[in-house]
Amino acid sequence: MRSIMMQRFRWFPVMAVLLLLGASPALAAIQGVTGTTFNLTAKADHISTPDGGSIHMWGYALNNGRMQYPGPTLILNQGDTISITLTNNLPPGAGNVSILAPGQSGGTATGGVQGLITREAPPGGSVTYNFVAAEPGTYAYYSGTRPELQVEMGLIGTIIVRPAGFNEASNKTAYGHPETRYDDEFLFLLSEMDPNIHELVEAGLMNMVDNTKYFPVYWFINGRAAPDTMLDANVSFLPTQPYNCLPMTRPGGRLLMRIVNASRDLHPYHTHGNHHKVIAFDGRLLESAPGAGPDLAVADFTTSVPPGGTADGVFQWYAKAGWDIYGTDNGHDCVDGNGDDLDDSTYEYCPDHGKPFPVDLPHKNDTTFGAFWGGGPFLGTAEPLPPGEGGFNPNGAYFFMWHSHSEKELTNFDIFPGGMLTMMFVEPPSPPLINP
Amino acid sequence: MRKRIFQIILVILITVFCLAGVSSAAEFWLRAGTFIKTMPDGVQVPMWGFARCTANFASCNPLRVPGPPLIVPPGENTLVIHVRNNLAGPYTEPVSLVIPGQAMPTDGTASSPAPVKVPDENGNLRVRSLVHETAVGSDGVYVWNALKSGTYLYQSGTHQAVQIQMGLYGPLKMDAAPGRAYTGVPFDREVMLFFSEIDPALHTAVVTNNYGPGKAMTSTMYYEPKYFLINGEPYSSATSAIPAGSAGQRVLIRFLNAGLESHVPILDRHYMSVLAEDGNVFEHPKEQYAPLLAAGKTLDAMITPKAQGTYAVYDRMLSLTNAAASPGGMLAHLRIASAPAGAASHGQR
Amino acid sequence: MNGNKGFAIPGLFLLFLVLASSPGWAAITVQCPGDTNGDAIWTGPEVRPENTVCIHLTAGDGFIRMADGYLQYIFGFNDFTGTPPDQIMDQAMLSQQFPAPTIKVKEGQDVYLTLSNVGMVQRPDLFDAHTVHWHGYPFQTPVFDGEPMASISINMGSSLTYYYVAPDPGTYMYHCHFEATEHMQMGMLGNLYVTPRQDDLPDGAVLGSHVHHPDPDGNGPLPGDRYVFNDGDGSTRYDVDYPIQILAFDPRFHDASMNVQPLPFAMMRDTYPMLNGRGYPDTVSLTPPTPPDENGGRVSQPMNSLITASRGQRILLRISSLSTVEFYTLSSPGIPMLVVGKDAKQLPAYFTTNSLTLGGGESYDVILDTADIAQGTYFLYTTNLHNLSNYNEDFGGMMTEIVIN
Repeated sequence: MRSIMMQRFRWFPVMAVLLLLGASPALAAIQGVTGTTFNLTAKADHISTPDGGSIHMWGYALNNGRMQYPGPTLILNQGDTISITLTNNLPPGAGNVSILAPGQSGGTATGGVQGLITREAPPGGSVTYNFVAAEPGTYAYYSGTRPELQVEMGLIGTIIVRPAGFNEASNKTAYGHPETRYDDEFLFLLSEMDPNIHELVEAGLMNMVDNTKYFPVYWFINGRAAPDTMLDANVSFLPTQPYNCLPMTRPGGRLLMRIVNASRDLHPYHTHGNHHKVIAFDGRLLESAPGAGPDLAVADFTTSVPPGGTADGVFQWYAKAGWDIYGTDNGHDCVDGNGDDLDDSTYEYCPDHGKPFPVDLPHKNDTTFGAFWGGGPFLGTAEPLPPGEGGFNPNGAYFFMWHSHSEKELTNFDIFPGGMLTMMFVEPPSPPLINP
Repeated sequence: MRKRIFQIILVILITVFCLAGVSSAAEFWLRAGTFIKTMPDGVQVPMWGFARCTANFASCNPLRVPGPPLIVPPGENTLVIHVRNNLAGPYTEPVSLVIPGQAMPTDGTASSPAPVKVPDENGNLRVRSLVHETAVGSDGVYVWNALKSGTYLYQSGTHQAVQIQMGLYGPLKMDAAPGRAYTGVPFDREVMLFFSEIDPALHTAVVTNNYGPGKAMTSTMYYEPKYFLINGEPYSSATSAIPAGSAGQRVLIRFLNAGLESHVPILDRHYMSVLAEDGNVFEHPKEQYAPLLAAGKTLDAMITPKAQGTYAVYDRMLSLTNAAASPGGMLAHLRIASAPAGAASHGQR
Repeated sequence: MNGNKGFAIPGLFLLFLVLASSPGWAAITVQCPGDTNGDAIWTGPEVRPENTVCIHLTAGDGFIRMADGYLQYIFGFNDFTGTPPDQIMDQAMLSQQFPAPTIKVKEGQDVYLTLSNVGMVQRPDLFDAHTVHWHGYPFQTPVFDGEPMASISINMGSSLTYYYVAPDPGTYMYHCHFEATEHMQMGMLGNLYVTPRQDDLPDGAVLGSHVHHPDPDGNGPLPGDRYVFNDGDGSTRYDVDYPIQILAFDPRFHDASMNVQPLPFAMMRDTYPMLNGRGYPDTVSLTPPTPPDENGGRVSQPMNSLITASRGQRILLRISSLSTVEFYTLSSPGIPMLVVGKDAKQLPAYFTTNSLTLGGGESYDVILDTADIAQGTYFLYTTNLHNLSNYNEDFGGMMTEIVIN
């Protein structure tokens, strides 16, 4: 079956990958808002899914702006006292709304009314939550009011706490310890959706929802389903879905994955290309003793974060292919100054330097090409492709799919491909070598 | 005179040793029977459950789900449970008893467990019981040796796909020493949070003899639970908070899941130090706020609450309704009292 | 079911016609150093290079039989290493197996795996390409990763040769990644293991408190001197090892595929939970399920899941999941699981448990130490108890037995 996504991609003019021609050194940062006092408004709106769906949502809006899915990522500093005031502008009949911030310390709430789990903002009213962001890490936040409905409707978000002494330019760590340092960080907030529930809510039939028959058919990363995960952030035609998920790195670069499971189900998140080292769960380093650093870290190729929980993983890529991944006809060097078998700047595996590509690739007529295939096997070399093939990898980067390994979740309501999927790419270390 | 005192002391010592010999095995009597459980929405669900009885089934408590907690005194090596199968109605089955996490039980005379297999219509043997069975209307004895301390589920080992759903399960614990759950794991208070599920359609099919080959329901594949329970009750406005120690105390939470699906118990505003699963202590406890409590799993987690208050514990896999009605399901509250005056604090969390 | 057998024969002819008329490039071609006749083995004057492994896998379709007797159409792989290339299409069409053949290689070996796409006989309307995704292999490059969007896939009637230096030891898995949701649900799933260099240490090598002894005939290590990882201390030593791969099918999806109907992706629901390609009690049967007539009566489910050991032995369970829909929890009541590895990495701290929960794409290495276990029959099965069913049949599903002698 011809892949629908390949056809769809032909007509999307804006692709973040094209911005890589002349990419700046800092590849990306996590979008969010900083500060110590926040005003969030719960309100309704719609999101778009790649199969043409438009789904009624409830979400958190920053100040009184437009609702966004997921809610704004709050980027805090360790030790700060945080105050979040939530105002309830949900539609009539929706009831109260609230925020739970698991993992934060000393949480108190004022105003609003007492709910079954926490204090809540009544319709039109407000509630204020105070806590101390005592520990660095990655955390979830979500509604504590009728969670089986409100989490589903979209009232979810991420809290990131920067460690004391964090400096974007000179001291970029996740938890303060040098073993948690990174070059680029990306958010992977996982969620899912059963559109029947949203239709009932939109029709004013909230009390007909039967949670025991929950059956999701949409899956999202950072509020978007593939291929929208790979579009730019803040595209104009997805106004309520500002975040994207397009992780990128360079050979040897340390990529920090902040995985937040805001859904109700388990999703086995799998990274092609290499293992990722899980250094923390739920905002707590996997360490044998305080200060030891992540000495209990486990390298996974697939990580399943319990619902409501989080994981931080460090992904570092280089190749040990048994052949020279930079090719053998362009005179490049492999310089290993520090004795780790890797070139000090390109992370080429020097024992493989100069080894020829070991097999003949099939004739182009016998081959189906991927949209992100650079035309040839070498990193940094884009090779010609038959007309109409490929096109999304002009620099000869290496692309790897990062996705839920419950393959059913790679669909958008019966259409493959889609869902909880994105492509991570390894940008070549030096200016691209175009094979003439 | 000294000789008389010596004789008295000797008699006392001998008596003590003999009694110690008798009580080195913990012994319980459990009766399995059929009863009705009423959900908060009024739906009546037929259940199969256990009841605790006195020695030799002289008198029995009411049937309940989950079954009665069995507390084995610290340091016991052998556990003996007598099971009387009083299942009644148009459809009954033999039962048995297993404790995943402990060794498989024997009847006390055999050296190996004795699973029971029955032939299917093609003559292929399929296991019905993981260990020896107790037929309807009869008594069976189940013996475990080399007992390990910890938190465990006991459950029927027969036709588990049906009988565990029907309610034949309960909690069991044995501490390493008083106030010490395992070696090196002291605690001040303990709380049990026992998670379970009910699919009323199966229960009705079973007790009306509509479950089985050729009948209305032939397998449990289409399991769809409607009720979700903590400590035997789904949440309702009648549910009261569970006392869970005081601020500053080491409170051990024993999580058990007799359901067929995973759940994630989050305790609002508290990290948990998860230190054991299935009765096995980890080399390093895990600091989590969202632990995965898989089907059939037990977890031991320590909290040291800093402040008094009432804190919700809820399933973050969102089984939070009673059928379609909200609120409900796996929601409960722990009440932490204020620190007792003059009490030493056992460390911050 | 019966009406669709008619597809097979015209389909076969159609496929032959397509291939017979194809130009010279579309061909089954094996690349294997030292092998001159393309059968992927070294015979006669052919010289095998040192430390080299060649494998020839086919990809296509086939049929299996579920534990309740239901016929099931599958996509899959088969192993035709040793078959001359001009016989591949004829022999391999409609022959695929479930699960796919286990690939087991040694750390550091040069592995040449040729994948030949033999087409879908039951679906002559499909022109699907196939790949092999080497799931979990570290330090990957896209060309051999087998993920089609970033790489190349092989079309019908042709071959693609993958090359790897077998990496760090552990329990990996492989599967087709082309149209992954469909091809994986349809069954293109298998085990992939890499054994450690530590297995080949010289006699008398000291590993902590354990002394290594290989097979005196030089055929490799004896039971008792094999390890999961290069642990350095023998702590991952095992005597016998068994694959336990969690798999599950949705029969409505497979039937729709067989009947050329739209595939129910959104409604996908697995009701045939399996271990190693069979449901209980077929999991413990040493003879395969009755081969279907629809694939010419060839055995298509060669793998059972029966675990046997002598009391005192250490049993390694290489547990993996390639389920496309659900997570499953596997338990071994009565026998504690010592977990020494996850995702082909030795754990920094082993732990003991009675059950593990896996989603698709995860693996665990578990050692069952039977030293303190009484002889008898024990069970390894899912605690998601409704999956002890073969669809509408009770007493089945995701269960196998552990027999301690």
